[in-house]
Amino acid sequence: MKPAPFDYARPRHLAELLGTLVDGDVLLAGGQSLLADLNERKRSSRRLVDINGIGALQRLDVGPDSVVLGALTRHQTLADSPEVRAAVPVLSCAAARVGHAAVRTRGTLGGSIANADPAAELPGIGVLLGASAQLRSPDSSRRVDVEELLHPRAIGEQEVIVAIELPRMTSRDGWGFREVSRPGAYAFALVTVAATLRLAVDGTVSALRAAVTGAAPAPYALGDAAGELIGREPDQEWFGAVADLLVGRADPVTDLYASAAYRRRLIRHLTHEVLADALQRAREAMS
Amino acid sequence: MTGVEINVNGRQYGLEVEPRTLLSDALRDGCGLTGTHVGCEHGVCGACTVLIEGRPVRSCLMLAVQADGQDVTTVEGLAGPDGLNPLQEAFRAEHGLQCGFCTPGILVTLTAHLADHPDATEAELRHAVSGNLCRCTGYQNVIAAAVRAARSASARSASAQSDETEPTATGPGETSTAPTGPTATGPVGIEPATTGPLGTAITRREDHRLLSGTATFVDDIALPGALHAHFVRSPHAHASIVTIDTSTTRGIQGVVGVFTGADLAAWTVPLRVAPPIDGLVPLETESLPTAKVRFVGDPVAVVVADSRYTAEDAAALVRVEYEVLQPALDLAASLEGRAPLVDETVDSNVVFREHFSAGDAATAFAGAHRVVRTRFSHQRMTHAPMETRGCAAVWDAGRAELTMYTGTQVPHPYRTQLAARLRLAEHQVRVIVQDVGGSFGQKLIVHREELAVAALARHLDRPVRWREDRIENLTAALSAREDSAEVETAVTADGRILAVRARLTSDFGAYALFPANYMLRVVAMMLPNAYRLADYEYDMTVVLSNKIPASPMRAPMAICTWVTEGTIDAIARDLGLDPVEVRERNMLRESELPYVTAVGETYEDITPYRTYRTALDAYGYAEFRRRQHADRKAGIYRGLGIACLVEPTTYGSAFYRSAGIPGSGHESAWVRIDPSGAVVASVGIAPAGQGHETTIAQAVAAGLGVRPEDVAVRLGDTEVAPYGMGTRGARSGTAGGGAALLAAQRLKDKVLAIAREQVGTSGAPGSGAADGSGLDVRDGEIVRAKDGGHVGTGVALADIARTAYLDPLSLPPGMEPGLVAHLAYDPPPMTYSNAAHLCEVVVDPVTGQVRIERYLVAEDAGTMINPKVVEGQIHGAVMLGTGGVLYEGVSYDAEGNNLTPTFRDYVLPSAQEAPRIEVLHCGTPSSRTPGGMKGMSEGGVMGSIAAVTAAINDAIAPFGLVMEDLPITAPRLSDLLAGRTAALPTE
Ligand SMILES: Cc1cc2nc3c(=O)[nH]c(=O)nc-3n(C[C@H](O)[C@H](O)[C@H](O)COP(=O)(O)OP(=O)(O)OC[C@H]3O[C@@H](n4cnc5c(N)ncnc54)[C@H](O)[C@@H]3O)c2cc1C
Ligand code: FES
Ligand code: FES
Repeated sequence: MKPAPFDYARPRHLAELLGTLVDGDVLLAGGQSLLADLNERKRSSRRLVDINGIGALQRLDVGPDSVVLGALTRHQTLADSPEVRAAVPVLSCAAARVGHAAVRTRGTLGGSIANADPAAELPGIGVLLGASAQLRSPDSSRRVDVEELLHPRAIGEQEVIVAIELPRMTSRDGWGFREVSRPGAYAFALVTVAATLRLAVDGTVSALRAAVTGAAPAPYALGDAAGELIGREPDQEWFGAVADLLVGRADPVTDLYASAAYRRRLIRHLTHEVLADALQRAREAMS
Repeated sequence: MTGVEINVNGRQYGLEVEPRTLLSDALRDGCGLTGTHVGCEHGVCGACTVLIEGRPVRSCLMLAVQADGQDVTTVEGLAGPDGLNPLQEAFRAEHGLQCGFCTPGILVTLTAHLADHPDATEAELRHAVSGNLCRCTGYQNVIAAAVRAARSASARSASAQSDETEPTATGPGETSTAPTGPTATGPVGIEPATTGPLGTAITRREDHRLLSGTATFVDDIALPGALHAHFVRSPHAHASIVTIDTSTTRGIQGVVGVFTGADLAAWTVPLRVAPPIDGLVPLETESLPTAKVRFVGDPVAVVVADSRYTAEDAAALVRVEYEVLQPALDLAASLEGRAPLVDETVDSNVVFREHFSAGDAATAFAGAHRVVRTRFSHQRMTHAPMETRGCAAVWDAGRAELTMYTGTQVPHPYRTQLAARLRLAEHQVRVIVQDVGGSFGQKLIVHREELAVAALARHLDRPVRWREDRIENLTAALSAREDSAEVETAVTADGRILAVRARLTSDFGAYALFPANYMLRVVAMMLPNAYRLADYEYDMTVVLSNKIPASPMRAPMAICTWVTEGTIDAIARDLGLDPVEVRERNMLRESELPYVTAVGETYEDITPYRTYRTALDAYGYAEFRRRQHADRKAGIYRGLGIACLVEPTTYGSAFYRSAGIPGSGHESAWVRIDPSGAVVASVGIAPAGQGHETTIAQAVAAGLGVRPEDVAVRLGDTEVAPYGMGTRGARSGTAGGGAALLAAQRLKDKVLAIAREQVGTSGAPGSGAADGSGLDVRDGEIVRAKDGGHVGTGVALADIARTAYLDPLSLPPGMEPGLVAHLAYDPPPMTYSNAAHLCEVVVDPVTGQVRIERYLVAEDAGTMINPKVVEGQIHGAVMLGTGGVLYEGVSYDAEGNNLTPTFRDYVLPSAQEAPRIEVLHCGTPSSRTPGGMKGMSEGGVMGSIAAVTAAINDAIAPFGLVMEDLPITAPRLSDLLAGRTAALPTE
């Protein structure tokens, strides 16, 4: 099918963008979700405002403690860029799992977060690492946790995600990212689990983050619950305890693709694999 | 409208586009570069992939305005003006394409990948193309071609880096012919009976245009001024049409009109399907529904406008008022008469019933050691050819003639139908089929949409075209295979089958576009498979429902193999025997042929036991069982599925007569030698990716004594091709190839008769040459038998041709001038091929994922015209069957809403899921067909449904579970296994 008619604007600068935005405009980033919806006439819009010409949305700054990625950073750049791979390897790994090369060429980090598919990889990494987003609208500017953006209507009508800021991982952070996806060419993830962990010199866990997508209306992280898992020996029992906590927070649906029970089992299964990966990397980092 | 400048393949194009114009449409319609194909418009199929600034992009998910000022490369720009690049050459050499519709997207995707990763491994390449769907090849040769290209690419980059490299055998114009890829292919046993052009794996002549993006699919046909049709479709499964208000579209610029069932009723004749078959209820289908809609997607009106975009805008405004009715979705309810009536003109949803009985099953059951009960249920699937349906109709008012461009498999029967339904004389209609992007049974009939488009072209006196979009294709084209079987089998203690009783049911969907017994009948017919069975009873029931109408789909009988082989496995389970042993006990041996089955079919020239043993021996069955046992102890669930099958092919007229279906199974051909000696031939079949232009050229070459490359083949145009029954039921090789071969032989007789006059007949009689005179034609030259070989006479076919046309007085007395032979050939009622499939899987009980570790086919398709084509057909067929077992399914909710309208939900397997298939050939020629050819191309589907399912059941046997319903998706299998514990293997 073909899209219904719309007007089109392509501002060159952020100021021009903010100056032109009116209610009812729809931002066009990579188009890898939006254009499919428009083609199927599931969505329509009076005007598309194409943000691809705006240089300010394309920054890629790796600082000593944090990484700032413009909203237009392409999935392929996240996967391939040596700077990103060094600073947030778990993000690169997840980005490489998004769609196919042709989707990654155009799909963007900001678009993926704005689109907020419950199973999407990149919002999950945002939640895992406690990333924040910088948003602008014609008359305001705010910074919020990515986690808060992943709910319906969390982004205002005329709001633009400008950049995403993530804490930089250190060489001591072991990490893992795994997913079970649907078969076929679409191959969207059913459930993903990501984790980072750090070991103390005595081999106990000194820091742990974990996040799940595809098993609740929005991605969720272990958060404060990680506290009780710190300082313990990362054995199989500990893996099980992490999985229990993650499964406990799940609120999955049953749909055409899988049952809620299946999604729960995947969390447990993937958590074990991801923790094993993270542990191995953490141990390698120590030796 | 906005002006954009796009640099495509190094050329600047200035285009006027709407903001909403997709880049794919701009490239195709604006630049006229139709090599970029549109297969879904939701980003999944990959057919539209192009390079922008060297990076792959889905051109359906990018606006043309966004490409302003950018460099775009399409498939047309991959190679220079002459010839193909090494990647394209690799695809040709490895037969990495069939219909070629997916190919441009695959080539572009691989071009980008290989540029970044010249050393890519097979696994990486598989992953790289896993976002490109192909319905034909099963991906095996796609991967083989990619690997070959990667090898030559890395060889090239290695030689570019080093100053002193030796010249490599690969690279442009490469000469390396070493087989790549995993296929352990080689003839086993007898060689094909015929040598020469038959049995040679020559590359396909179709490939150049398909690889270079210059092929002509329906949407690629340029028709200036053509209007676009778009259909308004029902959102309800079952509803009365109260009113259709089209006034809302008035005044929209570019809209020519909106037409409804009432208009079509005035212009056309409805479809009546009422062959005189016992138990079959005659049914009629309106050209477009006037009173009620019967499934979600049923067309209720058609908008005609000057562009597809405008037609869709207007369609969205047409207001149809419906009175929603309860849908009939549950087969059991229909059988019990509890469901709403789908068709009020008949008194039940049950539209076909038959009881059949051969021998004395009752006595056999009474005396049986045991009765084994089995159940099998296949979900609804759809064909999903990568090129959806479509057509373009041109009415020539001056001549009162209609030209219909479409992708039908059966041009002549299609024309007969179309003319009758438009109330035109047959000669007023010409059907032209050019390149077709797959069909699999979906393009067999005059679809209602196509009829409407043809009628509108005539009514409006303007060319009208229609291209179905993917959502329409998945929700409203045709579907297949919602069949189930309940079987009781009487057996002896040692596993011998005494008698079978089967209850077969099928959900036929909303309309009878085929006789309702058409598919299920072949299931029942082939259920005895390769086993001795005299006492056989079946009951067959077919019901209408509020779902997409059913049709044959590649291997309409496909579930029969699963039913029989699954029953054999159940016998083994129930009696504690080895399934291999149970097959040994029941399988027909060649010494028992010809064998007349319980349904009266005659098996001859088949080798089921031989293919079975060949497969098992090549596989190492005993070793497998040891591995399975050891792995089970380690918690690895490995299983082997065995499926033997006999595939009915060819379908001659006598078969239709005995089936009570009016119609013919003949095929026609003509072969002509022009005055210059050029050879051209035509047959009534129409290809949809099977490579018939190449195989027909081979058959003609074999019959006439010329080189295949010197034979031009014209297919698909009813003004050129003789009246034949077209391509279906694996008949093109035998019927089409047979007709071509016989026509060519007939023409050769005339050539030799002329040659005898010109060169004399001094050859030794009985020397094995064509006409006993010692003369024959080889490579286009008249040769004479000598010393067991041949010597040239210096007379070429061209010399004979010149005489035949331009010097008729030198012809033998009474001979007609010219060189043409026309021949119709009615093949035997059926020729049978056979095969054995072995499939090994590992099931992950946690994720439920099934990994196919090994897949082996030993097949006997008689004399192969072209082994590469045969293997390609097997790969594709196995993938199609496997897709049905593991992933695909048309799903409806309780209201009859279609839950699988896009490629996001209707899951076609990708290269990631594709098994590697090893093929072993046992070529036993048919004694009844020219050259010993048999059909093939459906057996792979039959075998894989059975083998993959059996392998899973073998793997999960320790959990005490048998899968009886398809598809066995990973989540479903995992859910069923969860909470069960596996029995540990006994020592
Ligand atoms: C075949 C295929 C496979 C895919 N597989 C996956 C997968 O495996 N995993 C996955 O996560 N995704 C997948 N996707 C989706 C893909 O990742 C999209 O790129 C992503 O979801 C949206 O990003 P985009 O830049 O394309 O946004 P667009 O499609 O342009 O926009 C999406 C939405 O976000 C809004 N938006 C975009 N940018 C901003 C911004 N800066 N500020 C505010 N709002 C904004 C838009 O207005 C729109 O509503 C797939 C897509 C396809 C076609
Ligand atoms: S991906 Fe663009 S047409 Fe299918
Ligand atoms: S060759 Fe790939 S779809 Fe036909």
